Amino acid sequence: MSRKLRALAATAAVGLLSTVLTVSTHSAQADELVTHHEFQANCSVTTHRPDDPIVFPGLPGASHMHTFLGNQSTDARSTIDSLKAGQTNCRTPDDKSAYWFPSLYNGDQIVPPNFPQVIYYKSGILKYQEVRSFPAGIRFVVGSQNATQEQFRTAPGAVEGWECGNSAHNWDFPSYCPPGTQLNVRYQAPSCWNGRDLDSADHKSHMAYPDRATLVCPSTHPVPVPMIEFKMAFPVAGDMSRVRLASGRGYTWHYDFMNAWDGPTLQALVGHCINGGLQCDPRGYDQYKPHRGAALGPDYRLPR
Amino acid sequence: MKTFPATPGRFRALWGATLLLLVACSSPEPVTSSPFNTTDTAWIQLMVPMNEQLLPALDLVPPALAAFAADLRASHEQELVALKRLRARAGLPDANPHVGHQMPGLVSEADLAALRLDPSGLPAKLREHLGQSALLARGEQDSGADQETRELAGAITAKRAAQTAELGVASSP
Repeated sequence: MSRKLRALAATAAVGLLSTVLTVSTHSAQADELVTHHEFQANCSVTTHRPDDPIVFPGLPGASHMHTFLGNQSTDARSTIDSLKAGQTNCRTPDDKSAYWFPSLYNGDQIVPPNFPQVIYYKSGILKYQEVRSFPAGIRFVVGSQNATQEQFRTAPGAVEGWECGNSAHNWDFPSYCPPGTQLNVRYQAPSCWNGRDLDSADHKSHMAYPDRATLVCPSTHPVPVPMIEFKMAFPVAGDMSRVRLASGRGYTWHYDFMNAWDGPTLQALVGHCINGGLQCDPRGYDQYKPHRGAALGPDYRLPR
Repeated sequence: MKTFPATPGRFRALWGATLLLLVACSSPEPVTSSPFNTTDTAWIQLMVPMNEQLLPALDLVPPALAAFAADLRASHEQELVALKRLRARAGLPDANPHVGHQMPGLVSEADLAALRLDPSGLPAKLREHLGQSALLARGEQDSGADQETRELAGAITAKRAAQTAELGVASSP
């Protein structure tokens, strides 16, 4: 073999090798392409009460009207222990957490969401593999009922404001929604914990949002926990001029979370779906990646 | 179809358990040795603006309610002294956590503006305030922990019942 030919063969071999490498790299990437890192809790409305076990613990009637989801025992006197002893309508029965928000009114009528609502548990940070489960008993308030419209629009939790039909990025209620549509809102919770307090005086400052540019938790709140995102839909359309929240205008939207998950169940969902980079349903199953299996059994519980 | 965490998952579970143990040792209460529980602090912090924000509404009463309003002002101001003393004893900040809140029985800026335009809604607003503060006081009596705070709540429960009855007499045509 001439030197020229040998060089050519070598080049071809290298080329072939690199082609093979490229193909295998591509196929590995395609297989592991991570587009989501989340699972859903699906919970329905239980009741409406003027109670708030985080802000007004032990004081029934102290609050503006709230609409409660999930745990059916939630009231002003709820504690983590009482919630754990209660029942839930969440699809995942070992999620005994309490979820609530200011009731939405049309005139004097409360408008309750009329199907199981989506509460996402996502990664709020770039390194989704590092998200930890929530500590037992943590509770916090998301958003602010004192927000101005500008504050609501620029809040780190804001997604697209109030939506209906093709109308989005409304930072108060739209004046009109096409008949047959529902009024939707999505809003994200802070997902960095200070690692120490389960609650704080303002029920917020033990939690923080990740840095917006780097998606890293701040050093004051170094523990990344799941980022809760409420996605609520309200069956109200047409003339929206009488639509309001119990807390005021649309930009006073906020919500509350009291963690009463069974620890191992939440851990299994966080590990499989968030850390594992999947788009899971409430059983911890990603329908687009069936080979990855599910975190929970057919009854949506950890096999025991 | 189920997958169970291999080693990394188990490691994460272990990490989680360690975290839970750490957390279990710390209390969610702000100060562990304080005689005040979360009901006490929530009640004190709500009752201060409940009473304070009623006072400007009392300037708007019609002549028939003037004597009632004067008594109500005096007792509300007296309660505020006691509430602020409790607030200091509990180590709570002076700041009002309910600025701008729309809540039952709390006279908001918007309520006040509406009453200035049309004072005929005042008796109903007063009744709502008295009823709501009685309800809150009963909650404190049931779920509060600090003895002095519960005693003040007991006194307010009794006073509100009497004040509601007086309002009924004074505002009846």
